[in-house]
Amino acid sequence: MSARGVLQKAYRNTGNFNTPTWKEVPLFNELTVGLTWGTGPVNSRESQAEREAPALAKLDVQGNVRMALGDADYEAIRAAALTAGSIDMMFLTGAHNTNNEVGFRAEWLAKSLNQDQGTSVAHTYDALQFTPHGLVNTFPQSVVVTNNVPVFTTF
Amino acid sequence: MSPLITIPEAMVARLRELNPAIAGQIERVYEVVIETEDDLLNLVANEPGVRVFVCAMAKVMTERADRAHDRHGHTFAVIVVARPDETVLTQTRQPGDAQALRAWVDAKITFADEQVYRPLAATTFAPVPGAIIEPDGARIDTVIDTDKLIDFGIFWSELSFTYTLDEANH
Repeated sequence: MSARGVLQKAYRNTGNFNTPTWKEVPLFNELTVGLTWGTGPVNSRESQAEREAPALAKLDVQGNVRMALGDADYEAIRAAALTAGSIDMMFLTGAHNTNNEVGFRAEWLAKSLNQDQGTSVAHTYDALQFTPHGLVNTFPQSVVVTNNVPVFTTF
Repeated sequence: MSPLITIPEAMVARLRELNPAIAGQIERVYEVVIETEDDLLNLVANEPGVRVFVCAMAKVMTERADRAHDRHGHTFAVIVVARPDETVLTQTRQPGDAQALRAWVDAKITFADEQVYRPLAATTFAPVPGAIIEPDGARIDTVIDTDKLIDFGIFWSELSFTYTLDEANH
């Protein structure tokens, strides 16, 4: 069954990393969760086909979030952007207690948070980009919901 | 209460606030029925019998606001109707003198624009909390219906407004 974007879920951890408490963040409008492998060429005289070997995986999240001043989720994202601190979030294809939903989780750096304040803008959103934070002692994880709870696998 | 009720009520309240002299002649209606000439003429007495009708027309989901809210456009028609007084009509009946009626029509067009259209199209006007008019959400559809003016001596102008409002989607 295909998942509809509006039914996909973003969660913010309000607990700690090892014993997370997930709170849904419904403020997202557009959202793209990306996984891209960096590669190097592996070519030989054995074949005329180019080949590539995977090196590092780049995770990133891009989208926009509805500006909601005073909303705890919005303020947490904004605070993370302002301080370059980490924010622990999980992006899933569905609810975090529905088996077989998949996604990614990391302590993210809010790398950018841009707000269009033009006069033609009727509804204000912040365009944001998340990338895994490099100054924390945790590592990005893939997620599969199993037995109604997210199960994490570190990259 | 549905925004299809609360928004036009707020529109009426705003127009009454700006036009206290005719506050009693500004109202929310379900529709304006014109089947006969009498229907039309009975809508409004001679001056200062300007009437303004606000009517809910449509609601449509325009986009997702976020994962918890959908964005809906609420469209309302506003009709401004007026009849000239006897002074204007008497002057107009004089051969070659259309200036009086012209000036009266200009005043009604100005009223519809400045006292109805602009206040309801104002970006700062939120008929209910969170509702906003989009840049293309306000329109004077008919500046003046000349058929009604020529045939019945009635000024008739039609305007429409669409306010968007985010509502929970679950």
